[in-house]
Amino acid sequence: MNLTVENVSKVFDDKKALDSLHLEFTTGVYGILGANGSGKTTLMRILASVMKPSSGRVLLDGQDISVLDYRYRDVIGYLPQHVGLYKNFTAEKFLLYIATLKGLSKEDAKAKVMETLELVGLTEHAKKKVGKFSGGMKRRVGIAQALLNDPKILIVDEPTAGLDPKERIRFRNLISKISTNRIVLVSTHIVSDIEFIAKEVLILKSGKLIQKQTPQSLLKGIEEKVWSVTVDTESETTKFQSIYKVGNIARVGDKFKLRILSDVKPHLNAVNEHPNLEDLYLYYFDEEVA
Amino acid sequence: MIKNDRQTIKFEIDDEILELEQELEMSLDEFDVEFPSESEIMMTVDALRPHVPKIENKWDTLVASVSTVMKYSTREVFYFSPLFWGLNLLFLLIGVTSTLFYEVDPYLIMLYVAPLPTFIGMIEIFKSGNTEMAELEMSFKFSLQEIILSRMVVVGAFNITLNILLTISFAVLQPEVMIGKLILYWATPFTIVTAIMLVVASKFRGSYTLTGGLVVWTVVALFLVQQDVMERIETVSAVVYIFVTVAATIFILIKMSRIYKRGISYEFNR
Repeated sequence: MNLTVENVSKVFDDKKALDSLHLEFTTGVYGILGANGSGKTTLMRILASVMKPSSGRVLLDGQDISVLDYRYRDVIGYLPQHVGLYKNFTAEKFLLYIATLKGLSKEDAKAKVMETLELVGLTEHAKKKVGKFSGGMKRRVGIAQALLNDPKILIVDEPTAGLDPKERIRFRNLISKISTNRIVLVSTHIVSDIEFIAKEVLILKSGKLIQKQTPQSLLKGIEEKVWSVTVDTESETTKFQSIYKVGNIARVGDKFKLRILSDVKPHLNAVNEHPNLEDLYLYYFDEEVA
Repeated sequence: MIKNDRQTIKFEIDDEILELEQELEMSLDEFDVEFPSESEIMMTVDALRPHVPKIENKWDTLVASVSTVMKYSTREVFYFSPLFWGLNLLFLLIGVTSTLFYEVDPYLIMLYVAPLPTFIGMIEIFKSGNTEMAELEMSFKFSLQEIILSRMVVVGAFNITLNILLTISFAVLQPEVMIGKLILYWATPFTIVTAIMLVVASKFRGSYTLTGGLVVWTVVALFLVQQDVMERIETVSAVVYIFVTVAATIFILIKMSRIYKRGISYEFNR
Protein backbone atom coordinates (compact mmCIF):
# COMPACT_ATOMS: atom_id res chain seq x y z
CA MET A 1 0.00 0.00 0.00
CA ASN A 2 1.29 3.39 -0.98
CA LEU A 3 -0.05 6.83 -0.10
CA THR A 4 1.49 9.62 -2.13
CA VAL A 5 1.23 13.36 -1.64
CA GLU A 6 2.01 14.84 -5.04
CA ASN A 7 3.00 18.50 -5.19
CA VAL A 8 0.28 19.53 -2.73
CA SER A 9 -0.18 23.20 -1.82
CA LYS A 10 -2.90 24.89 0.18
CA VAL A 11 -3.49 28.62 0.20
CA PHE A 12 -5.83 30.44 2.60
CA ASP A 13 -6.49 33.98 1.36
CA ASP A 14 -2.95 35.30 1.13
CA LYS A 15 -1.30 32.71 3.37
CA LYS A 16 0.35 29.57 2.02
CA ALA A 17 -0.36 26.84 4.60
CA LEU A 18 1.29 24.07 2.55
CA ASP A 19 3.91 24.67 -0.09
CA SER A 20 4.45 22.05 -2.84
CA LEU A 21 4.68 19.00 -0.61
CA HIS A 22 5.94 15.72 -2.02
CA LEU A 23 5.58 12.79 0.37
CA GLU A 24 5.34 9.05 0.19
CA PHE A 25 4.00 6.77 2.92
CA THR A 26 4.09 2.99 3.19
CA THR A 27 3.08 0.73 6.08
CA GLY A 28 4.32 1.96 9.47
CA VAL A 29 4.07 4.89 11.87
CA TYR A 30 5.03 8.36 10.65
CA GLY A 31 5.44 11.22 13.08
CA ILE A 32 4.66 14.65 11.65
CA LEU A 33 6.41 17.18 13.78
CA GLY A 34 5.96 20.92 13.63
CA ALA A 35 5.23 24.00 15.66
CA ASN A 36 1.76 25.57 15.74
CA GLY A 37 0.95 26.98 12.32
CA SER A 38 3.44 24.78 10.50
CA GLY A 39 0.70 23.19 8.34
CA LYS A 40 0.33 19.87 10.18
CA THR A 41 -3.44 20.07 10.61
CA THR A 42 -3.96 21.26 7.03
CA LEU A 43 -1.96 18.28 5.77
CA MET A 44 -3.92 15.88 7.99
CA ARG A 45 -7.23 17.32 6.77
CA ILE A 46 -6.20 16.92 3.15
CA LEU A 47 -5.10 13.34 3.81
CA ALA A 48 -8.41 12.66 5.58
CA SER A 49 -10.21 14.11 2.54
CA VAL A 50 -12.11 16.70 4.56
CA MET A 51 -10.23 19.51 2.81
CA LYS A 52 -9.25 19.90 -0.82
CA PRO A 53 -5.75 21.04 -1.76
CA SER A 54 -5.41 24.30 -3.74
CA SER A 55 -3.13 22.40 -6.13
CA GLY A 56 -1.59 18.94 -6.35
CA ARG A 57 -3.22 15.66 -5.43
CA VAL A 58 -3.10 12.70 -3.07
CA LEU A 59 -2.86 9.21 -4.51
CA LEU A 60 -3.62 5.85 -2.93
CA ASP A 61 -1.82 3.13 -4.86
CA GLY A 62 -1.67 5.45 -7.86
CA GLN A 63 -5.34 6.49 -7.79
CA ASP A 64 -6.46 10.01 -6.97
CA ILE A 65 -8.35 9.99 -3.66
CA SER A 66 -10.85 12.55 -4.97
CA VAL A 67 -11.77 10.06 -7.71
CA LEU A 68 -11.82 7.15 -5.28
CA ASP A 69 -14.20 9.25 -3.14
CA TYR A 70 -16.12 6.99 -0.66
CA ARG A 71 -13.86 4.03 -1.54
CA TYR A 72 -10.97 6.01 -0.06
CA ARG A 73 -12.98 7.16 2.96
CA ASP A 74 -13.88 3.50 3.52
CA VAL A 75 -10.24 2.61 4.20
CA ILE A 76 -9.27 5.50 6.45
CA GLY A 77 -9.71 6.20 10.14
CA TYR A 78 -9.42 9.81 11.23
CA LEU A 79 -9.20 11.51 14.59
CA PRO A 80 -9.25 15.31 14.22
CA GLN A 81 -7.56 17.62 16.68
CA HIS A 82 -10.89 18.95 17.92
CA VAL A 83 -13.80 16.58 18.02
CA GLY A 84 -16.88 17.26 20.12
CA LEU A 85 -18.59 13.82 20.20
CA TYR A 86 -22.33 13.52 20.84
CA LYS A 87 -22.28 14.11 24.57
CA ASN A 88 -25.70 12.63 25.31
CA PHE A 89 -24.78 9.30 23.75
CA THR A 90 -23.21 6.52 25.78
CA ALA A 91 -19.82 5.36 24.51
CA GLU A 92 -21.44 2.23 23.08
CA LYS A 93 -24.27 4.12 21.35
CA PHE A 94 -21.83 6.68 19.98
CA LEU A 95 -19.61 3.99 18.48
CA LEU A 96 -22.62 2.10 17.09
CA TYR A 97 -23.73 5.33 15.42
CA ILE A 98 -20.30 5.94 13.92
CA ALA A 99 -20.18 2.31 12.75
CA THR A 100 -23.43 2.99 10.90
CA LEU A 101 -21.94 6.07 9.26
CA LYS A 102 -18.92 4.00 8.26
CA GLY A 103 -21.21 1.53 6.51
CA LEU A 104 -20.79 -1.45 8.85
CA SER A 105 -23.67 -3.92 9.04
CA LYS A 106 -25.56 -4.11 12.34
CA GLU A 107 -23.98 -7.42 13.33
CA ASP A 108 -20.45 -6.36 12.41
CA ALA A 109 -20.96 -3.05 14.17
CA LYS A 110 -21.86 -4.64 17.51
CA ALA A 111 -18.85 -6.96 17.44
CA LYS A 112 -16.48 -4.22 16.31
CA VAL A 113 -17.72 -1.74 18.94
CA MET A 114 -17.05 -4.25 21.72
CA GLU A 115 -13.63 -5.05 20.25
CA THR A 116 -12.53 -1.42 20.00
CA LEU A 117 -13.92 -0.52 23.42
CA GLU A 118 -11.81 -3.30 24.87
CA LEU A 119 -8.77 -2.20 22.89
CA VAL A 120 -8.95 1.33 24.31
CA GLY A 121 -9.78 0.08 27.81
CA LEU A 122 -13.30 1.47 28.02
CA THR A 123 -15.39 -1.71 28.20
CA GLU A 124 -16.54 -0.99 31.74
CA HIS A 125 -17.57 2.55 30.72
CA ALA A 126 -19.53 1.44 27.65
CA LYS A 127 -22.88 2.43 29.11
CA LYS A 128 -21.72 5.82 30.43
CA LYS A 129 -22.41 9.05 28.56
CA VAL A 130 -19.36 10.41 26.73
CA GLY A 131 -20.18 13.90 28.01
CA LYS A 132 -19.11 12.71 31.47
CA PHE A 133 -15.76 11.35 30.29
CA SER A 134 -12.37 12.90 31.06
CA GLY A 135 -10.27 14.39 28.22
CA GLY A 136 -8.19 11.21 28.01
CA MET A 137 -11.24 8.96 27.86
CA LYS A 138 -12.76 11.13 25.12
CA ARG A 139 -9.57 10.79 23.08
CA ARG A 140 -9.76 7.03 23.59
CA VAL A 141 -13.34 7.05 22.31
CA GLY A 142 -11.97 9.09 19.41
CA ILE A 143 -9.34 6.50 18.54
CA ALA A 144 -11.91 3.71 18.99
CA GLN A 145 -14.19 5.29 16.38
CA ALA A 146 -11.23 5.68 14.03
CA LEU A 147 -10.54 1.94 14.27
CA LEU A 148 -14.11 0.70 13.79
CA ASN A 149 -13.70 0.05 10.05
CA ASP A 150 -10.29 -1.55 10.53
CA PRO A 151 -8.66 1.24 8.48
CA LYS A 152 -5.64 0.73 6.26
CA ILE A 153 -4.70 4.33 6.90
CA LEU A 154 -5.01 5.86 10.35
CA ILE A 155 -4.70 9.65 10.62
CA VAL A 156 -4.49 11.18 14.10
CA ASP A 157 -4.02 14.89 14.58
CA GLU A 158 -2.45 16.06 17.84
CA PRO A 159 -3.76 13.01 19.71
CA THR A 160 -2.26 13.89 23.08
CA ALA A 161 -3.01 17.61 23.24
CA GLY A 162 -4.43 18.40 26.66
CA LEU A 163 -3.78 14.96 28.13
CA ASP A 164 -1.91 14.31 31.36
CA PRO A 165 1.41 12.39 31.18
CA LYS A 166 -0.17 9.07 32.17
CA GLU A 167 -2.82 9.35 29.45
CA ARG A 168 -0.13 10.37 26.97
CA ILE A 169 1.89 7.24 27.65
CA ARG A 170 -1.26 5.11 27.42
CA PHE A 171 -2.12 6.74 24.10
CA ARG A 172 1.38 6.26 22.70
CA ASN A 173 1.33 2.57 23.63
CA LEU A 174 -2.09 2.22 22.03
CA ILE A 175 -0.88 3.75 18.75
CA SER A 176 2.13 1.44 18.81
CA LYS A 177 -0.15 -1.58 19.41
CA ILE A 178 -2.47 -0.82 16.50
CA SER A 179 0.16 0.16 13.98
CA THR A 180 0.72 -3.26 12.39
CA ASN A 181 -0.13 -3.58 8.69
CA ARG A 182 -1.35 -0.02 8.24
CA ILE A 183 -0.10 3.45 7.55
CA VAL A 184 -0.34 5.48 10.76
CA LEU A 185 0.16 9.24 10.53
CA VAL A 186 0.52 11.04 13.84
CA SER A 187 0.85 14.79 13.83
CA THR A 188 2.12 16.36 17.01
CA HIS A 189 4.21 19.09 18.52
CA ILE A 190 4.98 16.86 21.50
CA VAL A 191 8.18 15.05 20.63
CA SER A 192 7.79 12.18 23.11
CA ASP A 193 4.56 11.10 21.38
CA ILE A 194 6.49 9.72 18.45
CA GLU A 195 10.07 9.38 19.65
CA PHE A 196 10.04 5.61 20.05
CA ILE A 197 7.23 4.52 17.74
CA ALA A 198 7.81 6.40 14.50
CA LYS A 199 9.40 4.69 11.53
CA GLU A 200 10.07 8.10 10.04
CA VAL A 201 9.77 11.63 11.30
CA LEU A 202 8.66 14.47 9.03
CA ILE A 203 9.46 17.99 10.07
CA LEU A 204 7.18 20.71 8.73
CA LYS A 205 8.00 24.37 9.00
CA SER A 206 5.87 27.16 7.49
CA GLY A 207 4.13 24.66 5.22
CA LYS A 208 7.35 23.21 3.86
CA LEU A 209 8.89 19.81 4.47
CA ILE A 210 12.32 20.37 5.88
CA GLN A 211 13.20 16.80 6.93
CA LYS A 212 11.88 13.26 6.39
CA GLN A 213 14.09 10.61 7.83
CA THR A 214 14.26 7.87 10.42
CA PRO A 215 14.66 9.25 13.96
CA GLN A 216 18.16 7.79 14.06
CA SER A 217 19.26 9.58 10.89
CA LEU A 218 17.77 12.82 12.09
CA LEU A 219 19.59 12.54 15.39
CA LYS A 220 22.84 11.73 13.63
CA GLY A 221 22.60 15.12 11.95
CA ILE A 222 22.84 16.92 15.28
CA GLU A 223 25.22 14.49 17.00
CA GLU A 224 27.98 17.03 17.56
CA LYS A 225 25.61 19.85 18.46
CA VAL A 226 24.21 18.91 21.85
CA TRP A 227 26.19 19.98 24.90
CA SER A 228 25.81 20.10 28.65
CA VAL A 229 27.37 22.85 30.69
CA THR A 230 27.32 23.19 34.45
CA VAL A 231 27.23 26.74 35.81
CA ASP A 232 27.23 28.15 39.33
CA THR A 233 24.81 31.06 39.16
CA GLU A 234 21.47 32.09 37.68
CA SER A 235 23.08 35.05 35.95
CA GLU A 236 25.41 32.69 34.09
CA THR A 237 22.36 30.65 33.08
CA THR A 238 20.69 33.79 31.74
CA LYS A 239 23.84 34.66 29.84
CA PHE A 240 23.91 31.25 28.12
CA GLN A 241 20.20 31.54 27.34
CA SER A 242 20.77 34.85 25.60
CA ILE A 243 23.52 33.40 23.39
CA TYR A 244 22.48 29.75 22.77
CA LYS A 245 19.39 27.61 22.41
CA VAL A 246 19.00 26.15 25.90
CA GLY A 247 16.74 23.10 25.92
CA ASN A 248 16.80 22.12 29.55
CA ILE A 249 17.92 23.61 32.84
CA ALA A 250 18.32 21.17 35.73
CA ARG A 251 19.29 22.09 39.26
CA VAL A 252 22.08 19.83 40.51
CA GLY A 253 22.81 20.64 44.15
CA ASP A 254 23.58 24.36 44.21
CA LYS A 255 24.58 24.40 40.54
CA PHE A 256 22.67 24.48 37.23
CA LYS A 257 23.14 21.97 34.45
CA LEU A 258 22.22 23.38 31.04
CA ARG A 259 21.48 21.39 27.88
CA ILE A 260 22.61 23.53 24.97
CA LEU A 261 22.21 23.31 21.19
CA SER A 262 25.20 24.79 19.46
CA ASP A 263 27.30 24.17 16.35
CA VAL A 264 30.40 25.07 18.35
CA LYS A 265 31.51 24.05 21.83
CA PRO A 266 29.79 26.70 23.98
CA HIS A 267 32.21 26.55 26.92
CA LEU A 268 35.61 25.12 27.73
CA ASN A 269 34.01 22.64 30.17
CA ALA A 270 31.08 21.76 27.90
CA VAL A 271 30.47 18.02 27.46
CA ASN A 272 29.09 16.54 24.24
CA GLU A 273 25.78 14.73 24.85
CA HIS A 274 23.73 12.13 22.94
CA PRO A 275 20.94 14.00 21.12
CA ASN A 276 17.25 13.15 21.45
CA LEU A 277 14.23 14.27 19.42
CA GLU A 278 13.52 17.12 21.82
CA ASP A 279 16.94 18.51 20.96
CA LEU A 280 16.08 18.10 17.29
CA TYR A 281 12.80 19.96 17.73
CA LEU A 282 14.59 22.79 19.47
CA TYR A 283 17.25 22.81 16.79
CA TYR A 284 14.67 23.33 14.03
CA PHE A 285 12.04 25.40 15.77
CA ASP A 286 14.00 27.70 18.06
CA GLU A 287 11.37 27.76 20.76
CA GLU A 288 10.58 26.21 24.13
CA VAL A 289 10.50 22.41 24.04
CA ALA A 290 7.00 21.06 24.73
CA MET B 1 39.49 45.09 -25.02
CA ILE B 2 38.09 42.54 -22.59
CA LYS B 3 34.59 43.66 -23.53
CA ASN B 4 35.27 42.98 -27.23
CA ASP B 5 36.64 39.51 -26.42
CA ARG B 6 33.48 38.68 -24.47
CA GLN B 7 31.30 39.81 -27.38
CA THR B 8 33.26 37.60 -29.79
CA ILE B 9 32.79 34.55 -27.51
CA LYS B 10 29.05 35.34 -27.22
CA PHE B 11 28.66 35.47 -31.01
CA GLU B 12 30.52 32.16 -31.39
CA ILE B 13 28.17 30.49 -28.87
CA ASP B 14 25.10 31.91 -30.66
CA ASP B 15 26.38 30.51 -33.96
CA GLU B 16 26.90 27.09 -32.40
CA ILE B 17 23.36 27.07 -30.97
CA LEU B 18 21.95 28.10 -34.35
CA GLU B 19 23.87 25.32 -36.03
CA LEU B 20 22.62 22.77 -33.51
CA GLU B 21 19.05 23.94 -33.93
CA GLN B 22 19.30 23.56 -37.70
CA GLU B 23 20.76 20.06 -37.35
CA LEU B 24 17.98 19.10 -34.98
CA GLU B 25 15.35 20.51 -37.32
CA MET B 26 16.77 18.55 -40.22
CA SER B 27 16.95 15.29 -38.31
CA LEU B 28 13.36 15.75 -37.13
CA ASP B 29 12.22 16.44 -40.70
CA GLU B 30 13.90 13.26 -41.89
CA PHE B 31 12.61 11.15 -38.98
CA ASP B 32 9.83 8.77 -39.91
CA VAL B 33 7.47 7.19 -37.42
CA GLU B 34 6.47 3.80 -38.69
CA PHE B 35 2.75 3.30 -38.76
CA PRO B 36 1.87 0.51 -36.30
CA SER B 37 0.34 -2.70 -37.52
CA GLU B 38 -3.37 -3.43 -37.01
CA SER B 39 -2.59 -5.97 -34.29
CA GLU B 40 -0.40 -3.45 -32.43
CA ILE B 41 -3.20 -0.88 -32.55
CA MET B 42 -5.69 -3.42 -31.21
CA MET B 43 -3.30 -4.47 -28.44
CA THR B 44 -2.95 -0.84 -27.36
CA VAL B 45 -6.72 -0.36 -27.41
CA ASP B 46 -7.24 -3.54 -25.35
CA ALA B 47 -4.60 -2.46 -22.85
CA LEU B 48 -6.25 0.93 -22.41
CA ARG B 49 -9.83 -0.30 -22.30
CA PRO B 50 -9.88 -1.11 -18.52
CA HIS B 51 -8.71 2.46 -17.78
CA VAL B 52 -11.47 4.19 -19.74
CA PRO B 53 -13.96 5.65 -17.25
CA LYS B 54 -17.44 4.21 -17.61
CA ILE B 55 -20.09 6.59 -18.88
CA GLU B 56 -22.13 7.55 -15.88
CA ASN B 57 -25.83 6.98 -16.24
CA LYS B 58 -27.30 10.01 -14.46
CA TRP B 59 -30.57 8.26 -13.76
CA ASP B 60 -28.80 5.25 -12.20
CA THR B 61 -26.62 7.57 -10.10
CA LEU B 62 -29.67 9.47 -8.88
CA VAL B 63 -31.53 6.28 -8.00
CA ALA B 64 -28.46 4.92 -6.19
CA SER B 65 -28.02 8.19 -4.22
CA VAL B 66 -31.69 8.39 -3.23
CA SER B 67 -31.69 4.72 -2.23
CA THR B 68 -28.55 5.24 -0.08
CA VAL B 69 -30.10 8.25 1.64
CA MET B 70 -33.41 6.44 2.23
CA LYS B 71 -31.70 3.32 3.53
CA TYR B 72 -29.48 5.33 5.81
CA SER B 73 -32.35 7.48 7.12
CA THR B 74 -34.06 4.34 8.50
CA ARG B 75 -31.02 3.84 10.73
CA GLU B 76 -30.64 7.54 11.53
CA VAL B 77 -34.11 7.52 13.15
CA PHE B 78 -32.72 5.62 16.12
CA TYR B 79 -30.13 8.30 16.85
CA PHE B 80 -32.48 11.30 16.95
CA SER B 81 -32.66 13.09 20.26
CA PRO B 82 -35.61 12.13 22.52
CA LEU B 83 -36.23 15.88 22.78
CA PHE B 84 -37.23 15.95 19.09
CA TRP B 85 -39.82 13.20 19.50
CA GLY B 86 -41.03 14.48 22.87
CA LEU B 87 -41.59 18.09 21.79
CA ASN B 88 -43.35 17.07 18.60
CA LEU B 89 -45.69 14.71 20.42
CA LEU B 90 -46.39 17.53 22.85
CA PHE B 91 -47.41 19.79 19.94
CA LEU B 92 -49.68 17.05 18.64
CA LEU B 93 -51.35 16.70 22.03
CA ILE B 94 -51.71 20.47 22.49
CA GLY B 95 -53.24 20.71 19.00
CA VAL B 96 -55.80 18.00 19.60
CA THR B 97 -56.74 19.02 23.14
CA SER B 98 -57.05 22.73 22.35
CA THR B 99 -59.49 21.93 19.54
CA LEU B 100 -61.36 19.37 21.60
CA PHE B 101 -61.65 21.22 24.91
CA TYR B 102 -61.14 24.90 24.09
CA GLU B 103 -62.85 24.94 20.69
CA VAL B 104 -59.85 26.50 18.93
CA ASP B 105 -60.21 26.58 15.14
CA PRO B 106 -58.59 23.32 13.83
CA TYR B 107 -57.36 25.10 10.68
CA LEU B 108 -55.54 27.60 12.85
CA ILE B 109 -53.97 24.84 14.92
CA MET B 110 -52.90 23.08 11.74
CA LEU B 111 -51.37 26.25 10.37
CA TYR B 112 -49.42 26.97 13.56
CA VAL B 113 -48.22 23.41 14.26
CA ALA B 114 -47.23 22.65 10.63
CA PRO B 115 -43.67 24.09 10.64
CA LEU B 116 -42.82 23.31 14.28
CA PRO B 117 -41.22 19.88 13.59
CA THR B 118 -39.06 21.62 10.98
CA PHE B 119 -37.80 24.14 13.55
CA ILE B 120 -36.94 21.45 16.08
CA GLY B 121 -35.65 19.18 13.33
CA MET B 122 -33.09 21.82 12.27
CA ILE B 123 -31.17 21.11 15.50
CA GLU B 124 -30.96 17.46 14.54
CA ILE B 125 -30.19 18.14 10.88
CA PHE B 126 -27.29 20.46 11.61
CA LYS B 127 -26.13 18.88 14.88
CA SER B 128 -22.80 17.85 13.30
CA GLY B 129 -21.68 21.48 13.09
CA ASN B 130 -23.03 22.45 16.50
CA THR B 131 -21.23 19.58 18.24
CA GLU B 132 -17.88 19.81 16.41
CA MET B 133 -18.58 16.48 14.74
CA ALA B 134 -18.73 17.75 11.16
CA GLU B 135 -15.01 17.39 10.47
CA LEU B 136 -15.04 13.80 11.67
CA GLU B 137 -18.24 12.97 9.80
CA MET B 138 -16.75 14.29 6.56
CA SER B 139 -14.19 11.49 6.71
CA PHE B 140 -16.78 8.68 6.84
CA LYS B 141 -17.90 6.39 4.04
CA PHE B 142 -21.32 8.06 4.06
CA SER B 143 -20.57 11.65 3.19
CA LEU B 144 -21.70 14.48 5.45
CA GLN B 145 -24.12 15.53 2.68
CA GLU B 146 -25.74 12.10 2.74
CA ILE B 147 -25.93 12.20 6.53
CA ILE B 148 -27.60 15.64 6.49
CA LEU B 149 -30.05 14.66 3.74
CA SER B 150 -30.95 11.49 5.64
CA ARG B 151 -31.78 13.59 8.69
CA MET B 152 -33.91 15.86 6.49
CA VAL B 153 -35.79 12.82 5.24
CA VAL B 154 -36.47 11.71 8.82
CA VAL B 155 -37.71 15.18 9.82
CA GLY B 156 -39.85 15.51 6.68
CA ALA B 157 -41.33 12.02 7.04
CA PHE B 158 -42.10 12.63 10.70
CA ASN B 159 -43.77 15.93 9.86
CA ILE B 160 -45.99 14.22 7.30
CA THR B 161 -46.86 11.51 9.83
CA LEU B 162 -47.70 14.14 12.42
CA ASN B 163 -49.90 15.94 9.91
CA ILE B 164 -51.73 12.72 9.00
CA LEU B 165 -52.32 12.02 12.70
CA LEU B 166 -53.64 15.55 13.28
CA THR B 167 -55.85 15.40 10.18
CA ILE B 168 -57.29 12.03 11.27
CA SER B 169 -57.82 13.33 14.82
CA PHE B 170 -59.64 16.45 13.59
CA ALA B 171 -61.68 14.46 11.07
CA VAL B 172 -62.79 12.05 13.81
CA LEU B 173 -63.39 14.68 16.49
CA GLN B 174 -65.01 17.29 14.24
CA PRO B 175 -66.58 15.62 11.21
CA GLU B 176 -67.53 19.01 9.72
CA VAL B 177 -63.87 19.99 8.98
CA MET B 178 -62.75 19.88 5.36
CA ILE B 179 -59.81 17.53 4.98
CA GLY B 180 -58.56 19.20 1.79
CA LYS B 181 -58.49 22.59 3.49
CA LEU B 182 -56.70 21.08 6.51
CA ILE B 183 -54.02 19.64 4.22
CA LEU B 184 -53.54 22.97 2.46
CA TYR B 185 -53.29 24.80 5.80
CA TRP B 186 -50.55 22.37 6.75
CA ALA B 187 -48.68 22.02 3.48
CA THR B 188 -48.35 25.71 2.65
CA PRO B 189 -46.69 26.95 5.88
CA PHE B 190 -44.69 23.73 6.15
CA THR B 191 -43.09 24.08 2.72
CA ILE B 192 -42.58 27.87 2.96
CA VAL B 193 -40.99 27.71 6.42
CA THR B 194 -38.85 24.68 5.46
CA ALA B 195 -37.57 26.52 2.38
CA ILE B 196 -36.72 29.63 4.44
CA MET B 197 -35.15 27.61 7.26
CA LEU B 198 -32.97 25.66 4.81
CA VAL B 199 -31.52 28.91 3.53
CA VAL B 200 -31.13 30.47 6.98
CA ALA B 201 -29.83 27.34 8.74
CA SER B 202 -27.22 26.59 6.09
CA LYS B 203 -25.71 30.02 6.84
CA PHE B 204 -26.39 30.32 10.58
CA ARG B 205 -26.25 26.95 12.23
CA GLY B 206 -26.31 27.95 15.89
CA SER B 207 -29.14 27.00 18.23
CA TYR B 208 -30.15 30.68 18.16
CA THR B 209 -31.41 30.06 14.62
CA LEU B 210 -34.05 27.76 16.10
CA THR B 211 -34.97 30.22 18.86
CA GLY B 212 -35.14 33.08 16.36
CA GLY B 213 -37.20 30.99 13.93
CA LEU B 214 -39.67 29.97 16.64
CA VAL B 215 -40.09 33.57 17.82
CA VAL B 216 -40.62 34.85 14.27
CA TRP B 217 -43.10 32.08 13.51
CA THR B 218 -45.06 32.73 16.73
CA VAL B 219 -45.28 36.44 15.85
CA VAL B 220 -46.43 35.56 12.31
CA ALA B 221 -48.96 33.06 13.67
CA LEU B 222 -50.33 35.65 16.14
CA PHE B 223 -50.74 38.04 13.24
CA LEU B 224 -52.50 35.38 11.17
CA VAL B 225 -55.04 34.48 13.87
CA GLN B 226 -56.51 38.00 13.88
CA GLN B 227 -60.09 37.84 12.69
CA ASP B 228 -59.74 40.09 9.64
CA VAL B 229 -56.45 38.46 8.53
CA MET B 230 -57.97 35.00 8.91
CA GLU B 231 -60.99 36.06 6.87
CA ARG B 232 -58.71 37.33 4.12
CA ILE B 233 -56.67 34.11 4.17
CA GLU B 234 -59.83 32.09 3.78
CA THR B 235 -60.87 34.07 0.71
CA VAL B 236 -57.62 33.19 -1.09
CA SER B 237 -58.20 30.62 -3.80
CA ALA B 238 -56.96 27.06 -3.23
CA VAL B 239 -55.05 27.34 -6.50
CA VAL B 240 -52.84 30.03 -4.98
CA TYR B 241 -52.08 27.78 -2.00
CA ILE B 242 -51.28 24.90 -4.32
CA PHE B 243 -49.08 27.10 -6.49
CA VAL B 244 -47.12 28.46 -3.50
CA THR B 245 -46.74 24.96 -2.04
CA VAL B 246 -45.46 23.51 -5.32
CA ALA B 247 -43.03 26.43 -5.80
CA ALA B 248 -41.69 26.05 -2.25
CA THR B 249 -41.35 22.27 -2.73
CA ILE B 250 -39.34 22.77 -5.91
CA PHE B 251 -37.11 25.24 -4.08
CA ILE B 252 -36.56 22.73 -1.25
CA LEU B 253 -35.64 20.00 -3.74
CA ILE B 254 -33.18 22.31 -5.52
CA LYS B 255 -31.63 23.32 -2.20
CA MET B 256 -31.33 19.68 -1.09
CA SER B 257 -29.76 18.75 -4.40
CA ARG B 258 -27.24 21.58 -3.97
CA ILE B 259 -26.34 20.40 -0.48
CA TYR B 260 -25.84 16.90 -1.87
CA LYS B 261 -23.65 18.01 -4.75
CA ARG B 262 -21.62 20.79 -3.16
CA GLY B 263 -21.70 19.90 0.50
CA ILE B 264 -21.67 22.41 3.31
CA SER B 265 -18.92 24.88 3.92
CA TYR B 266 -17.38 24.83 7.37
CA GLU B 267 -14.40 26.76 8.68
CA PHE B 268 -12.16 23.70 8.39
CA ASN B 269 -12.90 22.75 4.77
CA ARG B 270 -12.79 26.11 3.00
